Amino acid sequence: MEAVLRLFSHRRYQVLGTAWLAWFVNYIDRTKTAALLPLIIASLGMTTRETGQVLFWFFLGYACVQPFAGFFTDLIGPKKMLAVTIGAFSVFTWTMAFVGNWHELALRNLLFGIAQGFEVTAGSRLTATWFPPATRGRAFAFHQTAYTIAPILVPFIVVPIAQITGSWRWSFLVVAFFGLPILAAINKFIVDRPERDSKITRAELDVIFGEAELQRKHGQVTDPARAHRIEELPPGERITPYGEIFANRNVALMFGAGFFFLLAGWGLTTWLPTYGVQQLKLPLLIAASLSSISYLGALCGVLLSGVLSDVLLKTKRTPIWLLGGLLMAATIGWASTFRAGVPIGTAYLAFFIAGFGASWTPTGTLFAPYLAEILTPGAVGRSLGVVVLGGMLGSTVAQPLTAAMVVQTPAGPDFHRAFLMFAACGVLGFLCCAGLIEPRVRRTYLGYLLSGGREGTWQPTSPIPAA
Amino acid sequence: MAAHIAHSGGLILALAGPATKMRGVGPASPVQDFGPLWTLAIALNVINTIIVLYYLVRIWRQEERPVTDGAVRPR
Repeated sequence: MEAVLRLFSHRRYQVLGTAWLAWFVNYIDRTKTAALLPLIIASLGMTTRETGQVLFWFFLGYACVQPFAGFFTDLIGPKKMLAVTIGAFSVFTWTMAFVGNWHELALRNLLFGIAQGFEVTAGSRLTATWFPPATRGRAFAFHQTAYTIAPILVPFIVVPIAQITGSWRWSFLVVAFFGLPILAAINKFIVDRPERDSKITRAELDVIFGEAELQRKHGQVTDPARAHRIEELPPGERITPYGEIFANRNVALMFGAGFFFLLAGWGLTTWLPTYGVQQLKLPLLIAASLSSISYLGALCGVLLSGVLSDVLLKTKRTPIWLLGGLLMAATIGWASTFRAGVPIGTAYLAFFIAGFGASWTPTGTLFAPYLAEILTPGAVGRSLGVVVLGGMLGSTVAQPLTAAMVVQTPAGPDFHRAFLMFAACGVLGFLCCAGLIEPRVRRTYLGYLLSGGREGTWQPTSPIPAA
Repeated sequence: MAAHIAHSGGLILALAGPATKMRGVGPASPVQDFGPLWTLAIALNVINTIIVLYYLVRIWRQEERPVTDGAVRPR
């Protein structure tokens, strides 16, 4: 306990803890409507098509704002962006309790998607800016545990509230208040950049930036695309022109990887319970728990990824994604052979590993540290906006594509083809990751392995600051 | 876009039985659904919104500058 208190006396851990809470609330937001959907459908008398529309508009809103989310985060700062997102969460959540038809619900879901789309770039940029490369992987892995824990807990929060009070509307009213302590924490603990924090100690700044960086850079141009000389920048940043951010093969490949991995990830976790009931003929609760097992695998995956990347791989990030893509493809390919009567232990193992592998991807873990290191922490917002756009496009098409792949047979729906599609997405995502430059070895990681461990010649446009 | 149950918690509810018989399903009209607690629901939302606006204005007005021109005091 004392060790935890000592840890949180450091400003960077206070910032990380607050960003974690904001990300946790973001995922409560995303999953609470889905968890209450059967009650809402009955209450508002929604048809199947209308229900699909309501869910679709959230992803559309989220995807559409990504190119702007990164710009706004870098322009006005992650603190204000986080505050706006959490404020919107609180207000839109209570307005959800007052809908009277599916049109109103769809409109609010669109607004939710737009508001929530700004959170990921803000939280990621804070982690990238506040942690040194040596511990950035672990810090960001901790940040990412929020998206695995929230979906596990949400049904146990919102469903009992609805059942105790007799109306799903009270779940929204109660959950709306979750945003208020987070706003207070953002107000108290978050500062956009370490060197702008009046409460930080010199010792902590030395840990984050290193003595040389602090001596060399006192600049006030926080946008690395607008600086002309390195002295104009604050510590930890390097000049990174717009061309380097957007006409960048690594960002383009991460966009592709994000599309394929989130198509498979969201397609799989969304349909798993239905697959369990309809294809594996499992009892209801066991089928529903397949999704939770997958999220548990993702939780273990993100935690382990940070330690492995920082400690064992000496801050290399791409090997984790290469392994994750292969693991995901192999496991889902294996699961495509499952039929009714498969031992439940085997199904649990497969979907635990699938969730684990899905978390080891450029949209699951380590993306903020990688972008901070291939570009600069000050460009994480804009570049991540591009990557998340790819992922959200994948999420948006995942549902209709999966539905189209399910074949109706005399024995019931067959998900075999849908699972093969997810496995193929794992392979395509792996191929995108294989082309990524690993900045620590100055070439692709596969190139590094195949050449017997020889470093390459890749260089950023301007020099990287000392770690 | 095909409809689907997007979360295992939703599936539990969906397959638990006819939805209209489940506890937690109310009328489509929020006024009818909240019944005598309508005023309380509105009051809670007004309080929520005022607190949100308070924090947003407070955070928005904060200006961040390098501490003592980049040279942080030791503590």
